[in-house]
Amino acid sequence: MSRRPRDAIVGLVALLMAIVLFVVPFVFMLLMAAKEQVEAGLFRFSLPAEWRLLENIGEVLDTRNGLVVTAFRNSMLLTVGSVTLLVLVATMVAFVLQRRRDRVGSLVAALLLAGLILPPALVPTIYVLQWTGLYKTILGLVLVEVALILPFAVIIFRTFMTAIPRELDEAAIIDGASPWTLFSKVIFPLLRPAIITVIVVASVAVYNDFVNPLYFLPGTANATVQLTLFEFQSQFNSRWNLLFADVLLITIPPLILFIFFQRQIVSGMTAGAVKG
Amino acid sequence: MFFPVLVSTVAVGITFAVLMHPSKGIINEALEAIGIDGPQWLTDPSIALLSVAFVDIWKGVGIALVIFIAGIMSIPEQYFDAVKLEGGAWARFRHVIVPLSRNATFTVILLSFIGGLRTFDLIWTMTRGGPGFTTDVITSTIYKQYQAGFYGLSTAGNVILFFGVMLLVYPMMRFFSRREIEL
Repeated sequence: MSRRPRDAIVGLVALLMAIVLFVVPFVFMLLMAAKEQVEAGLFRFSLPAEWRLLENIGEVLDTRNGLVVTAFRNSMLLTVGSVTLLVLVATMVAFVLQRRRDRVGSLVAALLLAGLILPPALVPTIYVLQWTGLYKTILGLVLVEVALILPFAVIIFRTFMTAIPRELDEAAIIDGASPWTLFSKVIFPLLRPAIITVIVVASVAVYNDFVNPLYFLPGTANATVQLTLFEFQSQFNSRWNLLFADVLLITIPPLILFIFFQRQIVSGMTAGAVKG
Repeated sequence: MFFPVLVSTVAVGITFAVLMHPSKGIINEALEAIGIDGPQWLTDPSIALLSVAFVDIWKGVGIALVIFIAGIMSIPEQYFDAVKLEGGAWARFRHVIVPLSRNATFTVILLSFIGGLRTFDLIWTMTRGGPGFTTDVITSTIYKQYQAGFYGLSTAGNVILFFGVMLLVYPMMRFFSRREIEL
C-alpha cells in the first residue's frame, strides 16, 4: 500500500529537479547582471552585495557609443520588416496553392517542403546579395529571413485555409469580386488567427537569429542584438556583469511575447512541426 | 520549461558556458558539495561535445514536450479504458501511450535530427569548435573557412551539409511516413 506516498515523493523530486534545471539558469542570469564587476567574475550563485542592475544596464547601453541601442533598433527594423513581408507573401502563396490544384502547384509545394528541410547555401547567397547591392543592408537580410521562414508560414496558412469553405470564394466571385478583392476582403481577414500565430513565431525566430546576421550583415553599424552578445562575449572578457546585463536585456522582448501569446506560440510551433 | 525555446541560443550558450566553468562554475560547485569531483565540462575533449548536446536538449525539451502532449491528447479515450481493466500506470504508458504517440515521436526525432545537423550557434558560443577540433561540427567548419576567406572550401562544406541532410532526412521521412499510424 506504499504506492500513493511513493508516487507523491517521485512527483515532488521530479518537480524539484525541473525547477533546479529550468529556473536556476534564469535566476543566475539576473543575479550576474545585478552584480559588481569583481563579484560577477566569481560566477557564484549568490545574491549580489549591492544591486546594481540598473547601473549595469545603463552602462551596457552606453558602451561603444550606444552600440546596443543601435542594435535594438536594427533588430526591431529587421523583425518588423521581415514579419510584415512574410505575412503578405505567405498568405498569397498559400491562397493560390490551396485553391488551385495543378502541376505547378504541386511543384511549388515540393519546393516548399524542401525549403523546410534543406540548409541554405551561404556563400552563393552572399554573391547574389552583392550583385544586387543588398549585401550588408537590412533589406537584404529581410529578404533572406523571409525566404527562410516562408515554407513554415505557407504550410500553416495552407492548413488553416482548408477550413475556409470554397463557397465563400464562389459567393464573392458571383458578386463580382476580382481575385484580388476576393483575397484581400474575404480570405485575408478570415486568416487572422493563423496570421497572429505566424507573426508571433516568426518574430521570435527572426529576433533570435544569429547565423544569418553573422553572415549577411557584418559590421558594427549593422549589428543586431544577437551579434552584440557575441561581440561582448569576446570583448568583455572580465566584465561578466555587463555581458549578462546584455543577455538580460535581450531576453526581455521574447519574454513579453511569451507572457501575452503563450497559447499562439505553442500551438504555432506544434502545428508547423507536425506538418513538417 | 517551454521558455528556453524562446530565448536566443547565443544567450543560452553564454550562460551555460559560465555555469559549466571548470573551477568556478556552479555546476561543479554543486557537485563538489555532494562530494563528486565534477569533470571539465567544456575543456575535456572527451565530453565537451556531450556538454554542448546537453544544453541543446535543455533548450529543445520544451518543444518536444509540447509535440508529445499534442500527440498523447489525440489518442482516443477507449484505449485508456481498455488498459485500465488490465494494468496500472506502467502498462498504460508502455502499451498505449508509447505505441500510439508514434507520430509525435517521429516528428520529434526528425526535427531534432534536422536541427542537430544544422547546429551552429551553441557550438560557436560555447566552445568555438575547441578544445582542438573535437567539437567542430559541419556548420562551424563552414564558418571557419568563410572567416579565413576560403569561400570555395566554405561552399564545399555547405554542399556536403546539403547532401548530408538530404541523404539522411529523406529516407528517414519515407521510413517514418510508411509507419505512421491512423488513430
